[in-house]
Amino acid sequence: MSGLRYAGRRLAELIAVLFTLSLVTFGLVYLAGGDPARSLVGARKATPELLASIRQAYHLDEPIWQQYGRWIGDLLHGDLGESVRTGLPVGQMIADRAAVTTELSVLALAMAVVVGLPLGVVAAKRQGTALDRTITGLAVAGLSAPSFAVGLLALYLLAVLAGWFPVYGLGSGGVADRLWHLVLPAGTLALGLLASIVKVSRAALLREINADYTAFARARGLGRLAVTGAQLQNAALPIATTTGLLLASLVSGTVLVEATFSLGGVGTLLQESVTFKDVPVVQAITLGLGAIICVTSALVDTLAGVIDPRLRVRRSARFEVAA
Amino acid sequence: MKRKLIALAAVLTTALAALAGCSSGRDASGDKDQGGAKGQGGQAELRVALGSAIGTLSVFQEAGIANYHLAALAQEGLLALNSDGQLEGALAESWQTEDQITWVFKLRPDVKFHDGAAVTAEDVLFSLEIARDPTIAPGLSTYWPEGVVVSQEATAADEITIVLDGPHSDFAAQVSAAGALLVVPKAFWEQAQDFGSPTDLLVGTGPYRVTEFDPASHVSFEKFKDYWGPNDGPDKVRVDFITDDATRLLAFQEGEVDAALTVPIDQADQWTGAADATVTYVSDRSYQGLTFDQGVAPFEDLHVRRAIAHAIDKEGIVQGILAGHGQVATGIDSPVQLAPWGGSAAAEAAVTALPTLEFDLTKAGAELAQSTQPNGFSTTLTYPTGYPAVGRASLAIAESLAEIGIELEVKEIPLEQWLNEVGDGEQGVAWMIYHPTTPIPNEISSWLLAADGPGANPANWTDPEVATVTAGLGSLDDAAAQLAAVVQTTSAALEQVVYAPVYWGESAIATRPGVTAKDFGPYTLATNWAQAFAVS
Repeated sequence: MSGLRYAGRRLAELIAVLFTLSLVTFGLVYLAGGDPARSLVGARKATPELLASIRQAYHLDEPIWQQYGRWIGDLLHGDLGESVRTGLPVGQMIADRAAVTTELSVLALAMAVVVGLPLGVVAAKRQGTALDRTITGLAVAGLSAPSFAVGLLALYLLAVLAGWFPVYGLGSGGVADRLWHLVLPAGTLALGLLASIVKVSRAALLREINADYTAFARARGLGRLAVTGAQLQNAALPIATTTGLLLASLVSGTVLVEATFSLGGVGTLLQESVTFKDVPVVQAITLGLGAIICVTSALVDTLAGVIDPRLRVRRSARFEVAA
Repeated sequence: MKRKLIALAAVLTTALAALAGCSSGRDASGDKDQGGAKGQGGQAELRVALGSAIGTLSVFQEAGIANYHLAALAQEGLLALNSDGQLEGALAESWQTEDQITWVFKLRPDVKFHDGAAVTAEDVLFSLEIARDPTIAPGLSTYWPEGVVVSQEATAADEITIVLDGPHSDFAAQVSAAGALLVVPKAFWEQAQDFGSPTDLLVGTGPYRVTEFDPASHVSFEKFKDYWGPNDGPDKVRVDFITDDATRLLAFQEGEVDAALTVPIDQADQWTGAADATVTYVSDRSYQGLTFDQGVAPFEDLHVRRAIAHAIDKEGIVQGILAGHGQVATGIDSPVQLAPWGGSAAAEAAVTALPTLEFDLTKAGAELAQSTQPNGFSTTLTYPTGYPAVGRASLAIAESLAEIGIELEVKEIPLEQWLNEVGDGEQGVAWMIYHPTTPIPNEISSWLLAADGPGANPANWTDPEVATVTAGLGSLDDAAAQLAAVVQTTSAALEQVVYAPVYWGESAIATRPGVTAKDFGPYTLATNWAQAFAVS
């Protein structure tokens, strides 16, 4: 019962967050000024009547509350609307682009975890040594470097000089070819995430290394691997939480990486749609991203209970009291 | 726990190794190798990099210059341009008009759409109808002002007759795919949910058929085997959207693409140097110049406008920023665009005689001293993203203006924002960048010199006499008279310094060693441009 209630509460929160987000986005895009009808016509001679008939066709001449009402009404009927820029259904436009961005983000996150976690562990185990300082220093440098610059540098070094990777796009082969095209952009994106994972895993593990149970386990003569395993298990919570939250930063990171590597994903679509004032597309993407972030944080919270039994007990205790 | 971790690590390692393994397989027959093979007469594939991405292939919805370039391969109108800009029959094999009011087009027999359907008069009439509807075709409909077409009907199974509200000498250009008519199959359009999208691919009658469209990366074409005319181009054409300039250059350098259209003119040297490429320059008939809105202070003052016009070092911009790949603009329509009215020499002579103000900072200072702002003032000049040469020209102008006391803040803004600012009555000084698509000689000035007042032109300029001449220009039959009329109206605009022309642009096409862009002219991109690329 408490589990259901918990899920219900999270769902209500999600809806409230998404509703607020939709209002804010709609308002901001509206306030940004500009006339999509003019953008559709381009730098051409257009009479005021012609512009007016385009505005009318897309309901751009209605007051903002009416436009918002129309949009939310359609949304409740499962209709994301039509893009002003392309005239295509928003759902289809996002679906066309979502695969690239999802693959890119997942690959980047996986790379960051696969590389960052061991580096964080090593840095913690070798705390204060030159190796520790090198790892931490490099991670911070990776975080500080702008992704478009890293992307171009990677392109020049690894694609042009070394010839190991393709320069742009997604290729025209199968799944493997597509993944191969994504390695360099995902790597670029991962570099920005790496620092957070290294730093968090190092800090979390250090706390465990300095904990009493570590000294006790060692004193009892437990093996190095067994001790590290226990430490990692106890340090898993902050690492998992951070990794989940990194998803949010991935979203903004993809825009630049997609541009550098000519991958027209959701990031690019969002950027194009914001400049065009293509409200239905902007709304759908921001809500989608908002939902992903909310769901991820809910999953991370749930995972926290699985990882750390103390949280599980506390939560159920609280629910019992509430009940 | 330990075992779980080891298992996880093993899975990840295997996945990465598999990926690496697949990649080495790709290298052997990879993109680079596939991309290279191509050429004329039955050779494999031409890979072209385009510097912009498009949202839909339908020019009805999105009528940008890149959409036009792609449509030129797949779609046709009643008439078409050849690479000299002359009109030829396309879906109409002949056409005639006695009075330039009633236009009769005889349809070519046995022409098929890419989906196999035969082209009928009904398809053409339907296409005209949707092109004229601003809610279906916002961009195209601007070429079809309300009331111009009095009637359109099929006067025989293979004949279309269009009656206009008065004589329009340039109407023939309008019914070409470079203008405002792209013929679509009515049945397919009505059944398709989203014409020109990745799911409902574009269907036309052109020499190439669209086989794949991914707005995230590329569009692929293959030769249409039932095409009614000759097509000497490669069997397949793949156009990749690579919007980042540096990445596009690297892709080209790596041989991943054979050619690049619209290379940034101010970066052409990097292309030639870094990739051993051949860069071909052709006039793109574009106009780049400043527009002054007299409704915005202090630009109502002629002396202020003259001061700014005198401070534009046009020669310096063309030589220094464009490396000579452009022409100092002395008028609005370029001589290449005006050439159909009496030939190149007449057009050159006409634009040379126009009253433009020379670069002279002393005169600029003197004009400012006589103005309402003798001590100078500050203002803003915006330019759209994607036009770096215009940005650099803006900075050059700002530098000159600083010397006479005018502080010009230069700002780069998104293209859409710039489009919204055109003629909005708030910009005292603004850039006009216009790439004509049609061969209509006064395509640009028919807008800029429509001096009917606010909203009619980007300067919100009013001059009843100029407005009358501009409006009546289409009804003139004689080329010399048409040229003279444009000279008259352009002179009036330049004397009042409503516009300060800066340069007429060129477009650069880069080809990798072994590939040539042969006979590329100002109109080639409005034709089946794929056949203009060949292996030498």
